[in-house]
Amino acid sequence: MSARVLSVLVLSAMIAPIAPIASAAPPPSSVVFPEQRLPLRFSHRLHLGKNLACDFCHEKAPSSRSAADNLIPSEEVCATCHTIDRAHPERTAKPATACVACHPSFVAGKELERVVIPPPNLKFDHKAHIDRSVPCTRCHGEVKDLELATRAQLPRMDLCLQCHDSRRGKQHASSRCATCHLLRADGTVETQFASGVLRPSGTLRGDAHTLDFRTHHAAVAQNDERYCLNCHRQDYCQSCHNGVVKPFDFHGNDYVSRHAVDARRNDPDCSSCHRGQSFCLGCHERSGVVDARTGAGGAFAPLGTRSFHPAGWADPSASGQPNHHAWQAQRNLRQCVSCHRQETCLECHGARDGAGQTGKMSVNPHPGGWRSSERCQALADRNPRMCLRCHAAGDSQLHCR
Amino acid sequence: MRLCATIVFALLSGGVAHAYDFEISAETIGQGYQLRAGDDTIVNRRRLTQTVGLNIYNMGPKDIYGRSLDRNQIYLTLSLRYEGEYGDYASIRELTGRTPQQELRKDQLEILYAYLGGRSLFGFLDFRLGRQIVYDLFDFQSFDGLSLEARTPFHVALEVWGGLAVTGSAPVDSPVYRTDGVALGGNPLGSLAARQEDALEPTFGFALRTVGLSFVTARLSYLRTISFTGDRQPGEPESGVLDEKLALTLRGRLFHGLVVPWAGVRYNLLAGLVDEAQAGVRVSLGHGHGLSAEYVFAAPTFDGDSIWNVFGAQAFNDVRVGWDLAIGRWRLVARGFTRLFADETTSNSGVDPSRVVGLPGAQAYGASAGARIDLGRGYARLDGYYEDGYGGTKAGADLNGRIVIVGDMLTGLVVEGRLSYVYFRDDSRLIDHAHSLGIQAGARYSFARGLTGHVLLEENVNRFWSSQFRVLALLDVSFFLGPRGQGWPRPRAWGMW
Repeated sequence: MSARVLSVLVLSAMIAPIAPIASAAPPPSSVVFPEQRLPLRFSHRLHLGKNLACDFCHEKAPSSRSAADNLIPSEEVCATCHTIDRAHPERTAKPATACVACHPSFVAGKELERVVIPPPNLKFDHKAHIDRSVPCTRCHGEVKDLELATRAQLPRMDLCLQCHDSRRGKQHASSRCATCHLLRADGTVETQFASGVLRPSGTLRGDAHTLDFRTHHAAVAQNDERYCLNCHRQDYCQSCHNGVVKPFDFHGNDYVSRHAVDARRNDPDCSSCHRGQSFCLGCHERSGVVDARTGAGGAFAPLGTRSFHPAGWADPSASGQPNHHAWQAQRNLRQCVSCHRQETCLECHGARDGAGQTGKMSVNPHPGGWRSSERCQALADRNPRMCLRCHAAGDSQLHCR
Repeated sequence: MRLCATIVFALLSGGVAHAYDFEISAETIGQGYQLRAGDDTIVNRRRLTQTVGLNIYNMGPKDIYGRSLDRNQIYLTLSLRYEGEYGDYASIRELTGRTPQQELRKDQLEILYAYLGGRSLFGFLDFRLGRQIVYDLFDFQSFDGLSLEARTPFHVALEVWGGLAVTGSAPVDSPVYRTDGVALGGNPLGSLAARQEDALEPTFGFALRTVGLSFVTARLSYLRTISFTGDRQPGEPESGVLDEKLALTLRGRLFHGLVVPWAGVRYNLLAGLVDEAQAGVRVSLGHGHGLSAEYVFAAPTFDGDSIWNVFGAQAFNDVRVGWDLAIGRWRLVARGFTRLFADETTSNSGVDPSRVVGLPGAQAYGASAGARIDLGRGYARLDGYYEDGYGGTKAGADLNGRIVIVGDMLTGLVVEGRLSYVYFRDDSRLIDHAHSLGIQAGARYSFARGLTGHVLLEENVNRFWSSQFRVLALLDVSFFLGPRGQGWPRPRAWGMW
């Protein structure tokens, strides 16, 4: 399958489902605001039409300091206007007094279906907001044309961030996660709740924790580690990046047998968890995949019967031929580093200057225009020790131009 | 043993524990599996890993209810790990006469991290003192020293740090943090690599980052690590730079987060080149629905003592696209990528005549797709992938799932399984190709609060293995003790979790 065909197929699969889904309005998080049961009949439209203020019914809201507070008006509040008589639940009047007027499932003699509003999994201080003159509609939206208010009238994080942006001003506030989110004892954000696992939606940092986010999180983590540490501790990161058990969704069954394909193209980037000159080299030497004994038997001769490199691989007379190792090294030098020490390369690439250096053939490994390059100067300025591994101290070639 | 445990528990749950939040954890992992050696013999690995963690949080002022205040909090965190190898993998070095790599010693004790930290001192200062890990400049680094972060009122925080890099040479070092390019152990006597193995590596750096801006985050970092020359030879300098980098990362937030672009670049001052660059964007198409595209550039650079820095190695260029959707009980994802490799002309490599060698496949490409359904008491997931081009071919499918038998996903009895098929073919070693079938089965059970066991069995069959059996067993003991009540830390990112 060609790359072009593959690209078209992948893009087609991505674009096809977009149209019908993109128009859907996002509901508030069901993890932060667990699902509710509201077996009620209520009209905000009618009540607000009588010019009632929000806190006429939600009288506890202005003083509420906790998100767990129940701010639904009690029967006592309703009775301010509705002359409710429990002894005569069917009695009608204006304003309505029958139980069924507000509790549509009410049946005399049967247990009433209760309102269930689980406490939200976040911190919220109504008083602090009201003290800063934040109107109710700023967070809950306009409800004057609404009948029953539901979870849909609860704020989304994007709305919170419009004021919680760490800017100065009466209606601005801190954008720290801990301002709203619950914390564990270790200071990280609590993400495990009975209602589910709290995951970023991606609208904050483009970090939507998608199905394969564990294997494609590098761009987010590289941007700012501290952002990740709001929820994850370092031991979580280390369990993979310096772990002792392979992550199975990343290195599935029998990965050792087939890791060479990934390593040759360096995708995924092996160095994000493994160092070529310690982990990879160590295992390859230990298991005899590569023979590290320079000089004896040749640096490219493995112990085993499975010839690792094709004919002409390290043959100087075959330089310039497709099988020669130079081209593979150019494309991905890290694949060489996973098996060979520097001494292997020095056998041929060291400068032959009669000063006891190891290079047998003095094959120049530098790219074209090396001595006049910025790279040559930068390396020579900062660590000439490395240059002296191949060149003698007095070597006339040992200077950048 | 039981007496010791009782004493420790009594101490931790005593008066001090009521003032601070304690977390203690112990994780024991046993693994047994086989590797195919270079001479096609089978090498057995029998690994035992013991990790111990201790964390003390919120050693600072409390409010009248005993809750920790945001400011002036001190904490201590440490993690120790012992790893033992009891299979014949540990002794194969005698067969070959080679010196073992430090990372794969038979017995290895590591201090992964251990530091005293302060949070929001005087409302603006954080610090860490001790062995710590930082992920910055596109890489991990670990050092023993001090780091400070001061937040200014101008949406900018300044970080400075300094200390000695963790190189793997000390008995309690983890070698994974050593800058790559120079091997530890087994180097020829008197060679630069051997002389520098135990050299101390002072490291320092600074960073400026934005704080609290909702529309952009930016970070500018600088790092420099040096070492002094051991047993100086004629012409060698007193010291050399091992690592020196400058990196800038940017991430925006546009249209209320519907569009999130990012970019990053790292200039390697030691090697005199840009060795990492990336740019990308994620577009939100609706709730739980997004598209992403990314470009990545990566050039290989190494430790300053490594000759590979001067080789004519080429950079990669990647283009990656992704799509994801979460709808109802379903989560779906699809990705595609292509990686372009570069070839120099023969004349640039000093081989005449001038031409580009016609190597096949200067490109690698692939795609993957996955779907997961939430089953209420568990989930099932199916992934498929196909990759081809430079390096070889890889195509396969992976079906896995987990279901709660008793209790819930975190505290009950959970069983899991995986069935995978993969075809792979290495394009340079034609002998390396196979259809491989693997199966895994496992169970996780919480015996009590904070006490969890996990067992996983794996069997693989392909033309190299008629049977390759792998077993993993984990015992995790983790407790929080303190004024916030008892509980247990979240499960670690182990296995399929």
